[in-house]
Amino acid sequence: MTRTRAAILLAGAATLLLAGTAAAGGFNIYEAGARATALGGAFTATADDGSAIFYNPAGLAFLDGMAVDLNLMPVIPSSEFTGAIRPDGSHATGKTVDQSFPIPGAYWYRNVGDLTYGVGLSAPFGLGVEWADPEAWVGRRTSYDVDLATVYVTPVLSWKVEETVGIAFGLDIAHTEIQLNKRSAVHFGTDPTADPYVDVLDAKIEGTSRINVTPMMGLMVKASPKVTFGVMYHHQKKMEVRNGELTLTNVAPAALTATIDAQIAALGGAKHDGVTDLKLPHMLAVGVACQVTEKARLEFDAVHFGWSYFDALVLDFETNPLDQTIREDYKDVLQLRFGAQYQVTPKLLAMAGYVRDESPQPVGSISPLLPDANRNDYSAGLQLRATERITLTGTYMGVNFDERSNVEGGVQQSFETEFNPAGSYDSYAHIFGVGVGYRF
Amino acid sequence: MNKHTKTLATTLATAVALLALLAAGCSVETPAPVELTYEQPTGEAIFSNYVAIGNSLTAGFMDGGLVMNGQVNSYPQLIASALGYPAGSFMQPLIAMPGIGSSDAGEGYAAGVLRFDGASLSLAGRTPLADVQSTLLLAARWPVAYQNLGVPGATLWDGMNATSSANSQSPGNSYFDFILRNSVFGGVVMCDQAASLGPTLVTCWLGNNDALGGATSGEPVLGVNVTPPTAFAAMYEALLDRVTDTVFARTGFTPVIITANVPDIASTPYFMPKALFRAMAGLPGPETLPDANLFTEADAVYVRFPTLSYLADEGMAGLPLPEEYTLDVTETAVVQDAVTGFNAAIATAVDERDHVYLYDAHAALAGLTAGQATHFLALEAQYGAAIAAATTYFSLDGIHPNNRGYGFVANGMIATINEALDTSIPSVNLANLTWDPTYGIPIDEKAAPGLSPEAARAMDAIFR
Repeated sequence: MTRTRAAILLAGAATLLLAGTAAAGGFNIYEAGARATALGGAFTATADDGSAIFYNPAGLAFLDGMAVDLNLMPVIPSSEFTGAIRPDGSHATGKTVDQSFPIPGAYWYRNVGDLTYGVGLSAPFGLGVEWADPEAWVGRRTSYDVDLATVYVTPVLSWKVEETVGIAFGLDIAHTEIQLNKRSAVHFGTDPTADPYVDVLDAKIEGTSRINVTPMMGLMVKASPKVTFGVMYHHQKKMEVRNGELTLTNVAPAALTATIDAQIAALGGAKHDGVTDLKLPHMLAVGVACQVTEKARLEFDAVHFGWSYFDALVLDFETNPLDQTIREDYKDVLQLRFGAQYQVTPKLLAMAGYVRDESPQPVGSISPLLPDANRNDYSAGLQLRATERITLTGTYMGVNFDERSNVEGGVQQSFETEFNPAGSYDSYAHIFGVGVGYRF
Repeated sequence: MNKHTKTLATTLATAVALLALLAAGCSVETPAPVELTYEQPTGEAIFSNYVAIGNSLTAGFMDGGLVMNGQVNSYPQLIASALGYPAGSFMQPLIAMPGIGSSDAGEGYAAGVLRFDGASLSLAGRTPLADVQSTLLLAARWPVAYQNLGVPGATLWDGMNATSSANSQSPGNSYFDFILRNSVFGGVVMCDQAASLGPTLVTCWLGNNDALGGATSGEPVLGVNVTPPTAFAAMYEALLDRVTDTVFARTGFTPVIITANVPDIASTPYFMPKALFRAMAGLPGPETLPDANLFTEADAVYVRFPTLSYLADEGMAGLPLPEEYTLDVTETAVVQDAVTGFNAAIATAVDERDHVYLYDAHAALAGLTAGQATHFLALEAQYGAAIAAATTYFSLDGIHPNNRGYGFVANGMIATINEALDTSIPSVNLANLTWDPTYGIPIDEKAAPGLSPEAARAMDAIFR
């Protein structure tokens, strides 16, 4: 295989990226490779395949030759919502539609002497939350369908400084696509038993970001034959969406159609240009791995996410009355990741992992847009060395969200309470990973 | 099968089984619904969302019709202003000049309000029926229920049952259609429209038309045009509970309700004691013109105000006055007994409910001075228009207050609220409420003095 063919493969993987979904705290997706995912993402001090380009490119310094690693990790999330009890005893319910998001991880690297260079494609930030029955979904006036996909193309250069130390630098070249669909409502009608609001507008906001380039780096130190330390850092990003477009569609009942048409006309039409910045946090991972026996290896990672950078989503339209600021106020969090592997046979490697993932989302910004919660992730996987050149990896990870409510002490704590429904969310995500590695 | 292959197979099988367990055992679980604490508003928050239900008195009906000039001084608007509502924020079904009265203005026209034209009462104008919607109904496109839901002509029954003029107790009364607007909203009755706004404070002044309908016809009959007090009592309790329960179901709190009871017909200048009638009509005393010759109902107690117009038209040939112009002893008793029964029922209903308080309108209006309770025309004949307009609390139709009279009512309600809730809402300054019965239209010097037949017809129709 030539480098050209490798590049084509990378491009092919990119087209699979329809959208991501949050599989780690906030809308981070830490699943960049099937093997790493099987280890619960505790891979910073191991980083021994192409996905090192994401997890710790310094690991590449210790690899030989040239290889391609292609991973596809379909994420199947589901969320349910139960509204708070209304004064009349009733409560709303909602659930997301069945969706599957194939998360790509595609990597190529080549070792020449003490240097290894490579390039990877990953999708570390994404979100896809589509609620079923959008016409009736109680949270539709916040969001009924949101898609966010971020692709990182990361070229790296890794240098084996000495036999036990590798360092690496790279660039995260990123692009984001964002789409948000919601309804807008007005207070209308006189029936006390009915919803006091009626939907009058369907609003679709979509845009793509400019290309954003930030540095990333890695360090790996084999402190002893058994103990390895690893450090990885991806810088925070401000994804500048400058081509955003808001499309308004009149969905008002007959009695209001003319009024809403007039309001749309007064705004200057149904389409409005806008800009926004999507702020992505830094990722800083520190890991230690221990080769406990010849066959067994353990790793523990702590990953710090600078989520406090994600303070708000400011939608700034050319038509000022449409401007909107969605307050987020995320906080920095530390994830704990544990991974274990066992060489069952020379050809077969068994892996398992556990993640304790604290949500960066404050109770105030829990919403249909992103109902985040603390999570416990459990993973397992197998890697088979099928031939001298080919490895095959299969992984499953279950992402189990804690049930979480935006009501505390009987009071809704949301930053916005008019259209963000009071209630509780529960979510779960299945992640299935497959990986194919080819050593040239 | 070699050892490696066997181990591989075993491991794979174990792994698949474990993964299946993981995948099957873990899935999204439907959360149990959480409880929300619904807080009962206290202090200033009680005044944050005020809604009024009632009849013409609540609507700000004045001078025989509904028009902005009067509506801006309706007692609900005056209370809202005293509570600190910014101008224009308390939504009423505002109607442009010349307003909508209920008199006969000729086929195809809606009458305006009455005005004093320098000598007599006449219409301030009329509007082709086809133009009413587009030119008069200024707030028709307001997307939610009005905060002032007073519908002229509404009875207690109507407050809970009528969705349109067609199914009201006064068929043809299009105020139901203008104010409840169920051609747009569907079929929602007055008290439910009020509840739809989730009010923290409700004023409710209904029941007047349950007696006045009969009284102003001149022929009141219990059970026909006067509501029997026992039925009234049951309906009144049902109304209070329906407002309370519906607001609670929507908002989780109980609104404060201020009710008002039904004044005596004798408190209004419309019902003239027969001696006053003789004086105003310029008729001789009973020694010259015995009651038996003046009235068909020889034991007449009260004479209705429009009789003056009838007499002006017919002269002495119109005597004795037909029975519909007077309330005799029995008829007066029917009306006054009904009012007594209503007010007892209202008092009981209020006493039984902790969140409902009573403004005693019956006592308040009975306490007006003679001048305040005298018709403008009577005062005008004696003191001139300026003093007359500055003295009386009643508008030209003789039964509805003018804006100063509505200020008086507002202050009574405000005092009730302050006493009930231990608050200190400021009173309305009545001196600032000046009433112009000419509506600023230049006085027509050629107009014939007295009450025009047109105006008299208006006054006959205004209570229905």
